Amino acid sequence: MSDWTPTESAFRQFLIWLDEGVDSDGAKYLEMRRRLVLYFDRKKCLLPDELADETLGRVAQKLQEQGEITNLSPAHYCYVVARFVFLEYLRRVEHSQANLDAIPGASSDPSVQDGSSASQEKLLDRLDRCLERLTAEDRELILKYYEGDGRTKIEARRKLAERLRLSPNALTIRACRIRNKVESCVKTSLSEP
Amino acid sequence: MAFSDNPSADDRTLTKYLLGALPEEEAARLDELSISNDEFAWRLDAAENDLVDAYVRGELSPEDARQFKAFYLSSARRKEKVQLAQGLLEYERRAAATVKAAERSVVTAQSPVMQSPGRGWSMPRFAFQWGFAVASVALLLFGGYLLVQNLQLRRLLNQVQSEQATMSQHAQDLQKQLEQGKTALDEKAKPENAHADKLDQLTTVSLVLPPPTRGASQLPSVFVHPGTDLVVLVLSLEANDFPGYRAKLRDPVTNRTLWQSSKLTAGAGSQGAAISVSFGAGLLKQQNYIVDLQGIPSHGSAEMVGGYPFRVLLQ
Repeated sequence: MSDWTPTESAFRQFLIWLDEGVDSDGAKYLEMRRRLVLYFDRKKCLLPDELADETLGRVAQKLQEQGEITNLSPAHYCYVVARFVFLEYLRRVEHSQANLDAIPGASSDPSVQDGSSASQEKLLDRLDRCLERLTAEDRELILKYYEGDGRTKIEARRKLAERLRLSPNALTIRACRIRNKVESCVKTSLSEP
Repeated sequence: MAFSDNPSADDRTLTKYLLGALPEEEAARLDELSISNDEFAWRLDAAENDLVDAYVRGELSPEDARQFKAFYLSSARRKEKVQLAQGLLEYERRAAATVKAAERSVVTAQSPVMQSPGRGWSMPRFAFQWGFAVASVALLLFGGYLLVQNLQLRRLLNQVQSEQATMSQHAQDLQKQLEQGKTALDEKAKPENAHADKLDQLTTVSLVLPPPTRGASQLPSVFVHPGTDLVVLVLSLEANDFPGYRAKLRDPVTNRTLWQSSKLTAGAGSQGAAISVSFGAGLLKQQNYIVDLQGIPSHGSAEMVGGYPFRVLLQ
């Protein structure tokens, strides 16, 4: 792992470069980090958060050293560096099923949900609280968007998009953002006593 | 960037990707898109949420369910995601059960005959109650109709006023863009006084691009003749969701941004809301391009609206 730590100005330079001229108030950085975590998680890396931070740190370092990076877009460049980080990870770690089984919760046990009603109630309680933190509009959107199954769900989403005067794409993106927010909230609150 | 022209094939590909069932080369291509392409990244998120929901509802095929357990659940993070999906499903079921119980108690409270079965039917009282109920419903419906009419008229008035304001703003934005285009041309070593006062002599070509949909038919093309100064694109919107927008012209081959607009507002096009952008024709070669449109809300970060692909043909 790199020992380089960005200075405040280097980090600010990195954020500006990532924003490509549209000030996102750090949202672009958080989104890029989220995508990198998902990428490393899909590649079955044991510590996807650390690898994502490693990737972003290397990009920021390269940007500071070179002053600018213009041959690739920021998102594309982050992917290229992530790919290198992943290949280094493969060479560094013995990646086997035995290693995955050694990590609590990382096995492919088909019984996902803890059967105890106490943990179920705790999850529902946290979910309820996190949904209450949303605006009424966001709460209604996410509950309506994911309600139902099969064809009824597809039809319901079409009607929801019409009612909210959103394109199907915009509705999908908004629902994903809200769900991500709820997932983070539940995860954080479950880790609290 | 258009993923492909076949949406259901795309969804199936995303599912196979999430289940680790794609060939390595195809998976690597999607790995890249998942980080470098905004639209694809959100589609992948949505596909993953739908896949997880389908699993907890028992809607996956036996093969997909087997692959889900073997591959998808091999990550602690994804197990948490499935637990949340199970929580959302349970939440939905409990909410539905609460609503049904409330409906049953309302029906029970409204039926005096049911409350006193020993007394049997009482016709005059029954007729009076039904008549009262029908009259109440009729009054409610009529009141509702008047309210809806009122709201519609108010909305129409607001819309007309808003359109007038946006058209005025739109005209100012177009003027500004023409001036920016003129500045870009000046920097190409044309004599300074050649076009300084001759904006009306700029040669332009224009193209209307339909709203981005999953199943786009033919790629719109714009013919750029020699001597063309500006290319004007009118980006049609399915809905005018944002107070402001920003457009970027991107080369899909290198993924580089070639041009970016200032903050724009939607105007009224011939078929609904639209955004008008213009840039120097000298930026373009004979190839495909994409205009990425972002919506800028009053608060929070910009959101991707969609990509508008088009082809440039030089003549």
